[in-house]
Amino acid sequence: MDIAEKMNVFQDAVQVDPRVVAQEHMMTGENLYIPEKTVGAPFVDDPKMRMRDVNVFYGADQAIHGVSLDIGKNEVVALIGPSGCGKSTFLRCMNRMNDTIDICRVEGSLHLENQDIYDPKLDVVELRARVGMVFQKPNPFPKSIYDNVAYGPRIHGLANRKTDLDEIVENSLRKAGLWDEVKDRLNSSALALSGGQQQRLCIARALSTQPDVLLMDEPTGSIDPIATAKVEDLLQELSETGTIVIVTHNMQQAARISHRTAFMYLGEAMEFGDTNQIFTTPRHPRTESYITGRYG
Amino acid sequence: MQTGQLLLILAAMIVTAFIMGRHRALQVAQPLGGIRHLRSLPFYYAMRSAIWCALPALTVLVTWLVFDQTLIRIMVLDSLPTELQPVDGTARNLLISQIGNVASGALPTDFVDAAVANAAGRLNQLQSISAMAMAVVVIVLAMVGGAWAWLRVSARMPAREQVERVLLVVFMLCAVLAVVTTVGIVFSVLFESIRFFGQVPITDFLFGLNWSPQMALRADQVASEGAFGAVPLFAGTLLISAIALIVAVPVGLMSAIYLAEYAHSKVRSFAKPALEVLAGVPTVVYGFFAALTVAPFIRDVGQSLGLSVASESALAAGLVMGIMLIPFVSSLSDDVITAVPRAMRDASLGLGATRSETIKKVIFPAALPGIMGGILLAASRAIGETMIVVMAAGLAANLTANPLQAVTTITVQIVTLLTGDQEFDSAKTLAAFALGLMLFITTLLMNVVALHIVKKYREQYE
Amino acid sequence: MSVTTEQVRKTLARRYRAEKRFKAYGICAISIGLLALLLLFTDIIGKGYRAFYEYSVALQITFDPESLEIDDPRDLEQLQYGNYEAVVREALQARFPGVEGREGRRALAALVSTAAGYRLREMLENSPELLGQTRTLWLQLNDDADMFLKSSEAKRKTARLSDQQQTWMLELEQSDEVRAGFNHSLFTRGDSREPEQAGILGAILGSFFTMLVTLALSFPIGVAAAVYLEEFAPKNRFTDFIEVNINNLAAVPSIIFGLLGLAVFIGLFGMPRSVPLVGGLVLTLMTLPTIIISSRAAIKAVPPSIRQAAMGLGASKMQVVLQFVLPLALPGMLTGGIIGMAQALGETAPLLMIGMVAFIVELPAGAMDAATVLPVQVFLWASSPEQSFVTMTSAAIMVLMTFLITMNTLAVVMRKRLERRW
Repeated sequence: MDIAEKMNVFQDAVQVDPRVVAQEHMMTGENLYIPEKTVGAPFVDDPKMRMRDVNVFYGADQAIHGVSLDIGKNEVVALIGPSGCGKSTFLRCMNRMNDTIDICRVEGSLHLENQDIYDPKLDVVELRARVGMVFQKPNPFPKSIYDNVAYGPRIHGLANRKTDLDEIVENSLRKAGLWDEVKDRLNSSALALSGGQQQRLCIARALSTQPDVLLMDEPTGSIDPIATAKVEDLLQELSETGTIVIVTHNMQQAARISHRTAFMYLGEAMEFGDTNQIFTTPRHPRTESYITGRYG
Repeated sequence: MQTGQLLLILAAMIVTAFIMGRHRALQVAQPLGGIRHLRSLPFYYAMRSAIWCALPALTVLVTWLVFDQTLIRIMVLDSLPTELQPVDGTARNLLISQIGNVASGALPTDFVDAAVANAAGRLNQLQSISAMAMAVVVIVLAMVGGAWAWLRVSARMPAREQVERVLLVVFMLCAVLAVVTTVGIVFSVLFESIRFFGQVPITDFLFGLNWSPQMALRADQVASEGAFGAVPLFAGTLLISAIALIVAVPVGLMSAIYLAEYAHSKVRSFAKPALEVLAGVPTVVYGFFAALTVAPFIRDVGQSLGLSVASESALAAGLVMGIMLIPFVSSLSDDVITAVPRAMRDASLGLGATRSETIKKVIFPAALPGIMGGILLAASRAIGETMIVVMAAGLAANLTANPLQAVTTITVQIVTLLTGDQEFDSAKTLAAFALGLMLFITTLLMNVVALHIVKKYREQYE
Repeated sequence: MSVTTEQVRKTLARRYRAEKRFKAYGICAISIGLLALLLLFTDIIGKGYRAFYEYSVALQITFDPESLEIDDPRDLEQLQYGNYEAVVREALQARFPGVEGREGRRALAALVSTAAGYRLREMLENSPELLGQTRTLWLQLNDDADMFLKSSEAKRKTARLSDQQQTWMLELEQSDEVRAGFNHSLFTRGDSREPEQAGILGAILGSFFTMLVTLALSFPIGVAAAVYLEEFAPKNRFTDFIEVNINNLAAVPSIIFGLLGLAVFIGLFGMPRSVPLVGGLVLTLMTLPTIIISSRAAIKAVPPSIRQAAMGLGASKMQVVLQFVLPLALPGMLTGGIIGMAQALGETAPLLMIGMVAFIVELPAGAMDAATVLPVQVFLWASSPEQSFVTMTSAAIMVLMTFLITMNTLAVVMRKRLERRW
């Protein structure tokens, strides 16, 4: 993999140079109060995941500045914020997907049910089996629909028999609401599906290993509105049973499906609280300007 | 007059035409009130004059140079009395070289027939006439062209458009040269091959099991016709290419995977250029290495194991050819592997697959068409590779699948048939062209298929 | 702890073993490649470094008019037919007075290269007053004697010298009457049947003239073709056909180009064999696809905004191309050109077809003189039986590789330095 490619991956993170933005604000005369700590309620009792003082660097550039927050059990947390605020980077810390980028460095403590995610002894394969991920762009493998969903169970050895595997595939596809659409053509190529179907297939694939936490990086970011509606329905269903962290640009989406919402800005978590509260009575002036559409 | 001198004169004339054309354009522009009243910049008028001066003269010069020797030769031969007229191509070539030697003074006149000496005199005479005539025609053409362009300079003439049109045509001709080359290849091998198949039936050539192109000296000798069954050659070529690919494909592929997916950037920045050096080593060097180091080594090892190994074993040539192909396979594989979108890797890693699982189960299947195309290209290179086999493989056409024995290949036979003393038009030399035709057709098909696959594959991820 | 985690844990050991194994395969593969490179280079350098120096022997040479059969050293004819070997022979016999019989004397005389005679003649021609005088001269040894001195103790037993000759050589070596010096003839002479007198200058010059022709033709034509295809060619089937042709030609075996050269340039046009001009023409056709492909890539890399800016000012398409696109694309094109030249410089097979394998002693003075090229010289020497020629071959390869690596490095450096970031 070449450097340029890596740059692409995290260009989102460095697109906006914090200094430039800060300067812009000074020039426009806005004099906003910037708190040291995240306002709202970033912490919960007995969390599923606990993150403290997380800093992320890409080479010499710092993309995340001391973010601390908790993800509760069976709750849907939305990460919102303008592009380049580091929400995707933060999400990718939670299952160590940032490990795949050589120049990326993560500091701070991240725990999944009292287990340190960045413990050198922890097995990253095991971690990723427990913390699944869905990406912005649907990325099915160039294989059949069945093989796509069966990929995870197969590599992890979750099914001993063909019938077990069939069952896992069917259950995952049902959970992703795709079963009825594809049950007759499980052996046709996943690439033949529409964009929305592909994304639901990717969700089914992520669900196939029955992860404890599902990370979703703008799952509707590159599909059309109708497909988005279907995915959102699905997310709403999933939110009833599992822990989900979702990065989104779409505030309505965050409002519709999440229990709690974190607003991130320039690599910092500005505000974290109940979704209703954030969208109705934001406490942080930046949150307010973001959700009222002053920038983003 | 020497061609070199003529070219210098022509160059001087072109420069003069350029300068005069420019001067005239400025002159024309002056009464009108400056060069902006010209339709084109003075530079284009100058270029136009230069082109008019150069193009016709150069065209004639090149055509002349290409054809004068052939024409003169025919004229000289025609001047010979009938009893001396050559009966076949071989005799003709012999006679021509004899006349040439007499004409250049290498062979004293009293060694040859008086008629031949006369012909030599005629050759010299014709050559000097030709050279003079060429010089005169070229210079006159250049002068006329330049003068005409100079006279025609006027404010309203679209000089730029004309110059650009000429340039465009020249550019197009340059591009068409690729087609001309292909056509040239096809015709040069096809014509001689057809003549060869006139002497040796095509079925004997394609399916014959015996290859011994040595023509007997006397007609009553056994096998006076020579045997032209090319199957042992095809088999030998396949055997050596197969050994090469068995070495190159796994090593090249795994190197590419390791460098792309695992290697630390420091290792990569060292190993990649090193492999590129391997790719830049001339094939003759590999041939030397194969013949003087690898082949004796294999033979010694074989002997110590009690195996009988030929000193020009297929294994040695194949191994070294495999080494030659490693960087080729590795760079082609690297291209296709890195073309697999990152999203695929992320998806697999995100599900908890290890790197090797991701490579084996996702990246490799996705890159497979591209890799197949690359392997096909490598195979085509192996089949057409010449120097390694010429230096390290044998000459004897054994039909065997034993890599420890000596086999010969198509390219080895082409080289042996065409170097050394050649009798043009004999079945022996023509056979080389027939082999060349086979080689061209095979590699062409493989290349077309491979390039098509690779192109399709690239489009898939673009 | 979930069921999944438990199940995953069970598989982990096996999967990591597979991971390690796979990685090991990769390391193996890379090592094989690098090892092959190392082996190739050490083998060639190990064989070839000894060709860069040569041994000469100190002899008391008396320019005796009688032995030389020369009474007037200003008479060129006398000089030409002078018996210089006799003088050398006498000097050798004076050094080893005990040698008796024709056989022994011949064996003794064989130690010194025949090139010594030419050297004496040259000296006499330059300074006629030497006639009748005695000088201590360092004379070039014959290749077998030279190889003997260069060999290690163990290898000396297998040297191509008789026992008697070996004793002489050892005696000379112990009394410091032999010395090693830089092998000048390697870089100042053409081919020769005598290894100690053979040099690669002829081949280098041949390569130079061939490359000159190739460069002068392939670069302009390649760039023009690339410009046409990238900027002007209409999108039609003929253009596609040209492109398919170029891509295929890039993969056609080089020997086929040799057949083309033989049939067309030599057979049809009646051009002479073995000359750099024809070699250059054949190599031009062979390198054109490489140059066209890389030039097109360089042109493609010029951003359209620059074209649009120039066209917006009213420049014609041709002006835009010649004045903006070409200068910007030039570094990339030159890089491609150098790589194509390097490819042509190392090419052998097509040149064998057009007769550049002849044994040529004279140094070529132009593109129309019979010549050979470096890689062909390597091929020719590689098939010579003498041990010294193996050394010479390796030395020629080292020189060739030096040229090639320099060219490729130059290409890489140029690409890095001239690369423009838009």
